[in-house]
Amino acid sequence: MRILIVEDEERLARSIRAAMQTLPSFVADLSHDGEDGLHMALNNAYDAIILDLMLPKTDGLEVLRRLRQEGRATPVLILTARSAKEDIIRGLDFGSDDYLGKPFDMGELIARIKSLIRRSHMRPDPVLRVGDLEIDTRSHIVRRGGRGVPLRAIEYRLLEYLAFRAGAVVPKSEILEHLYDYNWERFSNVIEHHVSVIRSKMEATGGRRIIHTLRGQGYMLDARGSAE
Amino acid sequence: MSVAKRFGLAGRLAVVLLLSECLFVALFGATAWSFSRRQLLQAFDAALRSEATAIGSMVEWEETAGQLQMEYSEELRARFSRHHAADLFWVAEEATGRVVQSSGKVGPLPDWAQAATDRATYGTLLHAGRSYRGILLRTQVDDEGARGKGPFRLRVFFATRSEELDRRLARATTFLLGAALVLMLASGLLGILLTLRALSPLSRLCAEIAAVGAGRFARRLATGDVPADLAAVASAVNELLARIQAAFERERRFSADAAHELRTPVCTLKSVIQSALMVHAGPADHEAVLRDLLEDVGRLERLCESLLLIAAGEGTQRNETQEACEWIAAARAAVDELRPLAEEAGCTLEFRPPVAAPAGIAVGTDDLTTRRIVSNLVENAIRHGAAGRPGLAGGRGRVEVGLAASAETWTLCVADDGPGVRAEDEAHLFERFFRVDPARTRCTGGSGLGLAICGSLAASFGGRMSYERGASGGSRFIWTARAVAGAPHEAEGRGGV
Repeated sequence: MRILIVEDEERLARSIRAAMQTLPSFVADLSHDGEDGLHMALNNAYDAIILDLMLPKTDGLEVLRRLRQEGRATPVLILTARSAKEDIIRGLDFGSDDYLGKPFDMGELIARIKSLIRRSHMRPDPVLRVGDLEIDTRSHIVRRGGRGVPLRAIEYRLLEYLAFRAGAVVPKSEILEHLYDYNWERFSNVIEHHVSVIRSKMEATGGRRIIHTLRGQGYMLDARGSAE
Repeated sequence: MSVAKRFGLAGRLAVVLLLSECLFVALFGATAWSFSRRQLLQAFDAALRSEATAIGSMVEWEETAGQLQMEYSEELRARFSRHHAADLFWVAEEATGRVVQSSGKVGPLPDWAQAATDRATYGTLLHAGRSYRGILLRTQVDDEGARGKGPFRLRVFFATRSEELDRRLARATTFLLGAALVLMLASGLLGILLTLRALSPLSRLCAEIAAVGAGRFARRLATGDVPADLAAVASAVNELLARIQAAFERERRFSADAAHELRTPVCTLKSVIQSALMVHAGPADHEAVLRDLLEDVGRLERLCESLLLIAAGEGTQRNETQEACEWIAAARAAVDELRPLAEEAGCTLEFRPPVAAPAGIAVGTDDLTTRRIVSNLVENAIRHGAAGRPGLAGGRGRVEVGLAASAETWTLCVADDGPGVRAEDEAHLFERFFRVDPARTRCTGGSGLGLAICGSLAASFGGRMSYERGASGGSRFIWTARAVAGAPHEAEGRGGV
């Protein structure tokens, strides 16, 4: 999952990113003013946005308004020291999905982001189940047929993303967009490499193929038949 | 006197009323008693006089005896025997002292009866265990009978039992005393009741004022149905409540703003620490994190300092003064300290002392305050004014610190040629936590308290801060300080703020 953090207090933004990236689920981009933040939100694919309200250049609420006006449905969590009732109501009314006051607990922030992402993919159960594949998004443990599958962070992230989009065809470009932060140079072969590694780990214990490659279209996580 | 204090206004009025009523009743009673006594005695004494005169008129010169003799008439004798059996009388010749006649054993006459005046004297005496009241009269025998031997002067003494009189007097006294007491009591009680009644609006007002407890300063006293002079008190109290309410409101806003300001660095601290704990980095990274935290703590520390400065300056009056040339020197020192910053920001910094510094003038400030205010203003000017104007020669901004004196004040003006302050922001410049750009850019690092601190410090010394737009569009921040003739006034053992 790729997160955008728009916060003008640089050390705070970096600490949030550092905390989120300790979990294999997340990579995060930073932006320190409203203008730049809006630009990044409109031009990249994010699974969630953490938005501070008091931003230089363009105010946080204005960023939110323009984002929604452009039809972007990215979940937005507002993070700000202004937590009077009127401010909360305004923030939600402008199109945000959640609101967290400063100072906040890092664990709570992460849990709320995860919840927003689950809701946006309409997968309310924190344990993603596809066939006999179980991905626990809380402990980041993957099981196939009851047996644990050891995955590296990037592999987990890829699998988790496919699981959220289970049953749909996900183009390689989309996977790239959601798996890497802004600074990563996109080599599309890297996806094929990771998918094959994941497959080999999961099928090592005799499981059926669950990640399917659709030539020219992308990948699909599906427990039903094989399409390769 | 302290007892009187405890009783309060109503009590005091009641006591005064009571005392004055007692006094009047007593005076009246005494007058009435004295009057009725006099009336009683007058009647009695008139009777005594007429008896004595009658007795005296019974004395005549008896030719045959060759002396004065008293003749009883039958009636007189009867009268004496019937009603006045116990009366005393005594008649004597003035010249010789020979007793003409007396009613038996009179005994030695009392002192008052031996007075030598011509007027009738009255008095009391005790005879055979009974009280008498009597008269001593001097009279003359008719010349007719004396045939040339007279006039004979007589002393007539007559006394009669005064028990009846005494009883009447006692009754009158008792009655008047009793009446006086009852009157005092009744009027005292009535007076107290009426006083309390009359003062009840006051006690109602007191109760209303007492009901305005802490936190309920929105209440106002009713001034409608209150007597005129109390209405003035009530409206004065209302104004006071309005002022208190405004002050509380300011303090509440200040606390809210301060707490809000503190949240942000606290939030960063918390996030950095939580993140560091989650990341499980090695010792080298720990050091970096700790340095980061120190920076945040520094920000918190500076913010706390600023808040404390503001709180300390609020509402205090400070009388210290600094000698004019020392003031100029302190301002110059503060300016010099900021030269590196000005250099870095690429603007020139000029200091212009006044042309002539008159001796013997002191400025309402102290050394620390002068340095603080000047540093604050100059730093602001460098940061916000350093942008200079595009197209300005050399592209360097200019900051000028000018000092000037007038009759009662000294002014210090920090002028820059930056973009100036927008008209709508001018009124709010010296408000706490006011920032021209609400999204508080990190690079300027300001908390919005700098100008508020300057304003508060200046005001506590009896001066003020003000803003003017410069002739060419830049900003001019002016500190007007009191000028006092005479030697500088040091603080008396006060710890510096």
